[in-house]
Amino acid sequence: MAAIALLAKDVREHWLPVVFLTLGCLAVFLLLLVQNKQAAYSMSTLEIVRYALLYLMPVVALIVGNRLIVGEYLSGTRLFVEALPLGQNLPLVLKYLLGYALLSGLTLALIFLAAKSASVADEITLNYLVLISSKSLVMLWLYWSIVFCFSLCGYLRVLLYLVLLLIVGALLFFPGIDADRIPPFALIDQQLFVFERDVIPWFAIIGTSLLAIVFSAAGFILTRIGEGSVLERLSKPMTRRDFVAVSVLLVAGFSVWSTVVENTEVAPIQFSSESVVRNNDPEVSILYLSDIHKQSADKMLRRLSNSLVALQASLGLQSLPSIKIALTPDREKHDMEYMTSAGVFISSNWLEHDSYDDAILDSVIMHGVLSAQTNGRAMLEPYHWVLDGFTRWWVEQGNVELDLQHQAELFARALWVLDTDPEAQQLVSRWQITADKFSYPSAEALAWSAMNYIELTYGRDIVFALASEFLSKPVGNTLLATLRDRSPSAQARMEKILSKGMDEFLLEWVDWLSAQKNDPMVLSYLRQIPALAGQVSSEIDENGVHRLSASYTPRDSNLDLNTDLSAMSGQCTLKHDYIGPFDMEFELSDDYEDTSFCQVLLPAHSVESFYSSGDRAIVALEYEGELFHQPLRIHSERLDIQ
Amino acid sequence: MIGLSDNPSVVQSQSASPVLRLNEVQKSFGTLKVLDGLSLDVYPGEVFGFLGRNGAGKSTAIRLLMGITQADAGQISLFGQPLKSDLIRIRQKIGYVAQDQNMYPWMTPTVLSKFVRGFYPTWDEKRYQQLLADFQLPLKRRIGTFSGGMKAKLALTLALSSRPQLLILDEPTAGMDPVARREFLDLVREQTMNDGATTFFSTHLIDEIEAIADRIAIVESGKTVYDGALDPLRESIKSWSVPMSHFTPGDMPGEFVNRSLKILKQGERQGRWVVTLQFEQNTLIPNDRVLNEQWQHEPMSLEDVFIAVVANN
Repeated sequence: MAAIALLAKDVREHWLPVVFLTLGCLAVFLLLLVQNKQAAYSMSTLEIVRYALLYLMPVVALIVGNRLIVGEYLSGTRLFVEALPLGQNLPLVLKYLLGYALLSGLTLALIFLAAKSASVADEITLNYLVLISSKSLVMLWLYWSIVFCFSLCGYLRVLLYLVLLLIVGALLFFPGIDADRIPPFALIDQQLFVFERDVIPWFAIIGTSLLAIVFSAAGFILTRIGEGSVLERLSKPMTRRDFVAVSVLLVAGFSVWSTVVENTEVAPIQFSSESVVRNNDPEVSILYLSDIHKQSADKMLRRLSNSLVALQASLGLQSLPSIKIALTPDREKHDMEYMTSAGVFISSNWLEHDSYDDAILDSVIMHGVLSAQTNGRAMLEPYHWVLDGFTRWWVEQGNVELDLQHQAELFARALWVLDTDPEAQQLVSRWQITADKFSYPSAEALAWSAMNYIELTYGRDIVFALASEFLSKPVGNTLLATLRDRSPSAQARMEKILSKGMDEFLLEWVDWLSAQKNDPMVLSYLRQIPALAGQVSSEIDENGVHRLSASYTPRDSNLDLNTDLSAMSGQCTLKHDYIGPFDMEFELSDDYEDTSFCQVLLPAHSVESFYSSGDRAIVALEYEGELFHQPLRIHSERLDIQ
Repeated sequence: MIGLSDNPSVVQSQSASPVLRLNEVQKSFGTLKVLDGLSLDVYPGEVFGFLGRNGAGKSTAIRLLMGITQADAGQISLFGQPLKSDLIRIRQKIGYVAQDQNMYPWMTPTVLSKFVRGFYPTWDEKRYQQLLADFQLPLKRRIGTFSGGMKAKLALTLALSSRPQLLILDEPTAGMDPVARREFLDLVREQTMNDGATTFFSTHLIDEIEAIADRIAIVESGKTVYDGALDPLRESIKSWSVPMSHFTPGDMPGEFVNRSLKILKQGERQGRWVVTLQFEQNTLIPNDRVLNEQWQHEPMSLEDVFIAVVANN
């Protein structure tokens, strides 16, 4: 009688929202069915059951839990029920069963609809239907148990859901964990959920059921702890003190996690093609796609292997990351895709490379190798210039004879950078700004010139000492590791190795570099650089379209740059792209560019852009001449589109 | 605890076995001891006032009586049987009005009746309707729109409609204005007299007790410090004063026939030395028995008596 009265009360209280929820779910189910029928990639209509379990039913469970449990516990009406002549657990048990029955009913309705639709093209046996239904109901049980347990936690439940989401996200996206193999994720595996007809996934079912039991039990136990006093406390709004306590706990947890826990290493990807040349120690694999490219791949393999062996010996590196290079003939020769999350992976087109282009590629590879030695940290610290300078120095002259033509091009770039922005000499404090402003090739040339100066003035040992100090030891990704790496400071460590103050060293190096402009070979390169400055403007035209415009003006220079634009064969290019919130270095691709002759009288570029108000973009003006292998960035700036 | 002769009106009731008995009941929340050996008996037909300061343990005692929480030690019995023996059946004989009314705000009194009647075999719908009419409570209005006083009356209506043998009221008038309070108390008195039900009335307001209680228990720090009728309590505590100019330390108002008395309070107030004494059973001394000169009898209200008892404990 008491149970009937309680059920009748809940039905009377919630029937209207339940009707709307049911109609809403049915509408979504029908939409899913229609969409599934039109989807070319769908193999079975029953896939929508999995989709609904993943995305719809958790939301439905939240709504049901919120109405059925949270409302009762936050408003205090449970105290009224508590004093009635009935068993202590009866109201909660009934709510638990009622919520689960509602969710199950909706899901079974969906399965029925989906099975009916799937039966047109597929044989839907009873066993198959029971299997799908069982897996769905077990998954639902887990959802409902979680919602049931968290709903009893009052205002704290929002935080608990967030923490749960973080945990699920971490499990799903943590590279070291194959989430599809562990319950509950294994139960709704993308392939097996629908297409497994015979084998019952006992492990996944039992594992998920155990989790559901744990959450359900936790909910019921929570109502009994301190004879309900904990529940009563949780049902009251969080005070400022509670918020502070929770915040402190979160910050403390995050601090402990970031201080103590190191990320697990990830196994590198492997080429499975037969068109791969390999070296085991150091581990280098080059995918060459077609036999006609095998010779060039072999040559590169030898060059890289020799270089890596020598680098390892010179810096005393304990191990090297695996290196994978994939030939992509449709790429431009300097357009490389570069990933370092699992070893070093580079996709590039080296088929038309000359020796300078090879040096660029090798430098990028060495950059990846040494960056990996520091767990990627070198790219974020004040010794970034050491990484950039040393890698180029290594491929140019660390292991081979320095090519004078390469040297002249690099010197010309470095001189041009310093001439354009004298502040770029601040290698330690302004390196990232220099790299963004002048792009990686020019910044690298500047850093290379510094390494070259150190070699000539202080000796090769000091070059290796610098590299060894900053690039040979892994830096942990915890707070403690960061503090250890930054104490003493990078500048103090450099000064110790150079036995000289940084300011004094920079002064000497800039003097020495400036003297290089008189070298005839360097001069020939400098004369191929236009003496130009650039300006960019951003505006909405009369048609409401956003436009980017750019113009060039002559500029004074201490170098013998070219002022006669008509005599220059190169072209000026405007490039632009979005800036994302996590972008650190801006490498502009050729996807969005406008090329024109370099001129100073009229605006050289005016292009419609795809930006809208609130976007952030980087715009660069570059000169692409025949003599230089890579463009010279004349101007760049970040724009906030208004 | 001081025992006094009981009011003659309840002597007859006490010959029966108690409806409600707490015996050496203890209850702690963590390190906080809320009830420390609470004992009391409530007999059939009486209106029992359960008096104590805020935090004295009254609500905890009532939650124990309702079986909502469990005692750490001691025995609780209702209607002659241990509470744990059949909690649901015992609760069906109790009408309970809580301090805060947590009824479903979306319900109307009519819907509320449909919900609650399922729990009480003795539910009297006619009486419910009658009481609603007497209390002028609208049948079709959502309870969420009711005032505090209306909710309390509705709670009393619910409690009385199950024809309870024991009515437990836990500070039901908290938050009511004086007029509503008086109206509520009159209704309680009237209805319980008509039904002959036992009433256990918890409050910290002396005038409420004075208005309706046959017998009271004063609880302080989780213990019963007085259990008996009101008049003997009032009679057992007397206060005298003497001008400070005539007071010598150690002086007493006089010499009493029997020295079985207790000094509840003494101190200076407005230029006079005031002494409050509590006399043991059957040792009351009339006011004119003050022997020493200059001492003057100070009249005491029930509130003064209550404060004197509670402060002394």
